[in-house]
Amino acid sequence: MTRTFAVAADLLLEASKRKWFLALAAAITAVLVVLVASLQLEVVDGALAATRLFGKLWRGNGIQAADVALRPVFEGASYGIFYGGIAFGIFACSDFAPSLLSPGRIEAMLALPVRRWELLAGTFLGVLVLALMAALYGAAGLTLVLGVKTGVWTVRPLLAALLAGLGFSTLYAGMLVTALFVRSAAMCASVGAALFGAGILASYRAQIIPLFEPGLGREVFKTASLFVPRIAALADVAARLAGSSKVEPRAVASLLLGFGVFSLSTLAFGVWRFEQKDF
Amino acid sequence: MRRRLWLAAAVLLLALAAWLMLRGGDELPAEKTVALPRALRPAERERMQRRQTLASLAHPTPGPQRPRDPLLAALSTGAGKTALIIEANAIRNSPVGQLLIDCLARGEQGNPVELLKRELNVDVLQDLDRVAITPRGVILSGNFGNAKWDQLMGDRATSSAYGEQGTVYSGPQRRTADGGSDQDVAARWGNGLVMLGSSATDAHDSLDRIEGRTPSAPPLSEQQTYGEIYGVMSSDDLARLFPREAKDLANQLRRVADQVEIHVDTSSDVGLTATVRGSTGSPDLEDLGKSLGGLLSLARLKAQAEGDTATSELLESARVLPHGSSFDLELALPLKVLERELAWCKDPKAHGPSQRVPPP
Repeated sequence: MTRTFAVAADLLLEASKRKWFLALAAAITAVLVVLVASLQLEVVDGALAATRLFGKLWRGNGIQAADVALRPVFEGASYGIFYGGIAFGIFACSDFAPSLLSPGRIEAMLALPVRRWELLAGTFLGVLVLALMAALYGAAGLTLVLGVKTGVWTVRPLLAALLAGLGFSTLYAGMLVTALFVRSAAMCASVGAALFGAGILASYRAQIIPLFEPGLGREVFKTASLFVPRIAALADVAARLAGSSKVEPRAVASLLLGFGVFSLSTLAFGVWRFEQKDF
Repeated sequence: MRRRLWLAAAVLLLALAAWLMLRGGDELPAEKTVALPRALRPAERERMQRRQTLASLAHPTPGPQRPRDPLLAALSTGAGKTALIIEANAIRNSPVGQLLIDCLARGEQGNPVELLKRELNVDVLQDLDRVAITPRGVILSGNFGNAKWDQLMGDRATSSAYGEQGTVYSGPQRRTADGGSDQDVAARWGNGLVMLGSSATDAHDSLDRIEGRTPSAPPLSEQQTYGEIYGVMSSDDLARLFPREAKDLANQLRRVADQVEIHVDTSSDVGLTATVRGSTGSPDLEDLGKSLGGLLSLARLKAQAEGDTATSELLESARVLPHGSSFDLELALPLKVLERELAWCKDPKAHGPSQRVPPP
């Protein structure tokens, strides 16, 4: 297990040297600094009475309890972090696995006392930690800015950020396995993007299925959509959590477990493929 | 062999993931928002048109025209008046209405619905359509053709015909605590409208307005008859309902607001909108809106601290929407909260809300 963490740490070190991730950190920081400087919130007895962004009065949801008034903001931020983070992650992380498997480097790695599954799991874990760090940084910054300005303190946006990381992990597992078949960053990104799109469609399968004429097409969609992680459903759960809306704990637990098990399944498939390969 | 184990694990885990995601994704309930009454909906417009039974006047008086709905025409004329109309029949046929009927049936004095049916031969669940509450009395609309009016007023009442379709029943004069006198008065217009009050003059005035002998400009227009409870309240009447702790807010309301228009929708959940209109400049009214928003926010925090979930959930959706010379107050209460709070009405062993066992 230590060796898995060592591989993950190595990947994080490599990511820290990439301009993509420095740019992401700088962009999130810039958004937060702009919010600090330009957002004015007037709170009267715990109610958000007026909001000014860049000096312009914004009525929004009117005058209501600050924590309730901020719910749409947290929900919106959650969707932004979820979808924006995943889209960024797909392209920024697409060449981690191909570069790990590049000639010369993979032989060097395999010469170390590390098993193949540990190498795969370490790479996956490293990317997962990277995604979580970015999502948590954005969510924590937003919570801090709004908390200082309104007195509303909540950890819910952080929970939503954790779910965004979980959502990305399923896609990255697919990208990692793709690299084991075709060592191409473009192919990895394409598979990630395809899985992302398919995951959104699968989230609405109940609404989409009746649109198909009864027959083979409907059955194929019905079956195929069962095996795709429901990205939009998870995004909705994350937004609801961030916005303090009620969620059905059993359904959410089942969905989260499903995402976790999907990642494990994909990784197991990847290990099977990795074990077959000669370098 | 070991490689095949990885593949078998992958397939098994994929099947498990599909099952878990199917279970989780399909069970996520859709977000439900409470509908708030903001304008006449098609069914309400149809209802409004159905009630326009009064003929247009042959020689209309100058100024605002008499509404063609008899109940609206009967209301006192003028701005700054209070009149609240309850769509009893619509509420009765809503989920909220069923809850209230269950609770009424559990009253300590017996079931008032049964009592009225027995004593007056009026089945309020079938015969009553609307109830209008004004400071001068109550007006009921519906079908009262079989009602026993003599039983309502007692043996000592006198009755006299008034106008084309009116009958006024007057009870004996009573002395009041301040040295004056009053009496119970009921007026009937045809079999569809009954007015209960304490002044024969008021009854005559209402009948005159319905039959077009005097001008009628009620505080509420036909276009404002949306929701299951609607009406207007003078700021003075509304301020009197405020608790003692909110005395300052009540005074502020009296000072800057003229009238408050209220609409409550009970068709599924309960949604309320109240539009507060002011006479003075908008800054005062905006301050009132902010004070009200702050008060509601504090009340919610207090309810949360005291574990009063019903109040907390009611106030959660409370918000004030400023519009310059007026502002709207919105409140929403999901039906499931009401069902939870009034569950004792359906429990044959329970005797009332005070005897409910608090949740652990």
